[in-house]
Amino acid sequence: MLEIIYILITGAFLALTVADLFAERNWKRQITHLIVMIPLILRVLQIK
Amino acid sequence: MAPEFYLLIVMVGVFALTVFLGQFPIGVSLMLASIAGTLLAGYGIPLRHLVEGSFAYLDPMLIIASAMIFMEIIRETGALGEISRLIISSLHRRPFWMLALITIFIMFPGMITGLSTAAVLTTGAIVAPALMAMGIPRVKTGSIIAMTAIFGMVAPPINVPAMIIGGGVDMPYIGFGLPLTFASFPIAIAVAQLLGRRHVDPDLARKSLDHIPRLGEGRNRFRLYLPILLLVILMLAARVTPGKYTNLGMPLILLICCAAAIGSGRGFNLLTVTRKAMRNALPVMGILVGIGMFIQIMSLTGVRGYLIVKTLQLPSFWLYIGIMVSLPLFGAISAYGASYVLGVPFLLALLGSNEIVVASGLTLIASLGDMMPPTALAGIFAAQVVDESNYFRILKHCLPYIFMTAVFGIIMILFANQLAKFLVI
Repeated sequence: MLEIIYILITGAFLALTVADLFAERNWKRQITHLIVMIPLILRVLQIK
Repeated sequence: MAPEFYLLIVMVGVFALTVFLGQFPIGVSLMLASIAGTLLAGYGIPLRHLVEGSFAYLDPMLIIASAMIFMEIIRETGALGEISRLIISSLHRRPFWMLALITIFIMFPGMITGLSTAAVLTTGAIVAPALMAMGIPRVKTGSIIAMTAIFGMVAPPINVPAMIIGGGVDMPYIGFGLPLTFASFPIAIAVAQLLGRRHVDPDLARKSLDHIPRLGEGRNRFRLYLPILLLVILMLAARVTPGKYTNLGMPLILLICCAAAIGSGRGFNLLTVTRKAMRNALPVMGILVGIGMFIQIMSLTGVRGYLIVKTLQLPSFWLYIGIMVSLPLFGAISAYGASYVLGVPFLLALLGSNEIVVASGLTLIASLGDMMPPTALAGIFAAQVVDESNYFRILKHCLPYIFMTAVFGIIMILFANQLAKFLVI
C-alpha cells in the first residue's frame, strides 16, 4: 500500500516537474528539469 | 602523479568552468563534469552509470519537494506570521528568550527541508522587518538570518549533507537526532545572541509587531497550528514507539500535513502554491541528481578511491586543518557537493571515532559553504531579505561566527567518542 502511495507521490512530482519544464524559458534550466525527471520517470514506471 | 589525479582535476575544472563561465545550473554542471571524466578515462558516455547515479538521492529529493510544498502552504495560511507574532508579543520583555525562540523559528524551515535558503526566504523574510524594527541594524539582521538558516540546515530531522555522507559510506541516516541537535541549537542561539542581543530594545520590540502581516481576528489558532503539530506528532510517533506504527516516511508525513493545512488559515490556490514550491525545489533536486552522477563516475574511474587514499595519508594535524578550510571553501560551489567529495573521505580518514558524531561535525562545517562567495546562497538571499545591496558586508559580520562554528565542528570531531556516550542512543 505504502509503495503504491509513494509511486503516486513520485508521479505527482513528475507531473509538476513537466509542467515547470514547459513554463521555463531558459534552456539551461530546462536541462535541470530533464535530469530530475530521469529517476522520477524510471521509479514511476517501476523500471528501477 | 596518478592518472586519477588528472581525471579529478579535469572533472573539477569542467565543473567550475560550466558553473562560472557557462552559467549552467550546478546540477547540470556536475553531470557535464561527470561526462568529461568518463570521456577522458575512456568509458565514452556510460548512460547506465549516469542513470544509476541519478537514483542515489531519490529519497532526499522527494523529501525536499514535499517539504518545500509544506513550507509554502503554511506560509500562505499565515501560520508562520502568527507564530512570529506570538513569540514577540509574549517575550518582548525577555530579549534573551525572545531572540532564542526567534532563532529556532527561523531555523524551522531549514530543519524540515534541509535547505538554508528555505529558512531565509520563509521565516527569515517574515521576521526580518520585525528584527530591524527592534533596533538590530540591517546588516546584523541579515547576518543573524543567514547564520541561523545555516544552523537550521544542520539541525534535525532533515540534514541532507549527513544523508549524503552516510550514503557514501553505507551508513543509514539513523541516530543523528541528538548529535545534530547538539551541533546546531546551542551555537545557533549563541550566535544570534552575540549578534543581536545588545541591540534589542523591549519597547521597540513590542512595536515591531506592526511589521508582521496580521492574519485577522476570529481565526481558530489551534486549527492554524494543527499542521505543524501534526508534523511533530507523526515524526515522533514512529521513533518513540518503534514497531508499533508503520513509518510513513517524511514525504508522506509532509503531504498529510499539507492536506491538514487546507482551510486552516488564509485561503490559497493549491495548484499555484505547489507549482511555486516545486519551482524552488527543482534546482536543489537537480544538484542531488548531479551529485549522484558525479559520485558514480568518481567510483567508476577510480577517482573516489584515489581521493580517499590521499586523505587517509594526511597527517592528523593537516587533516583537521583540511576539514576546517576545504569543506567550507568547496561549499562555495555546493555544500552538498563538498559533503560528498570531501566529507566522505574525511569520515573514512577518521574511522575509529564515532561515525555519527563525526559526520554531524563534518556537516556543520560543510554547511558553512552556503556563506561562501560566489554562490553564498544563504548570505546573498539574506542580504536581499534585508535590502542590503552589498552581500560582503554581511559576510564580514559573519566571519568570526563562521570561524567559531568551524572550531565547534572540529571540537565535535576531536571528542566524538566522548560525546557519543551522551548523544548516540
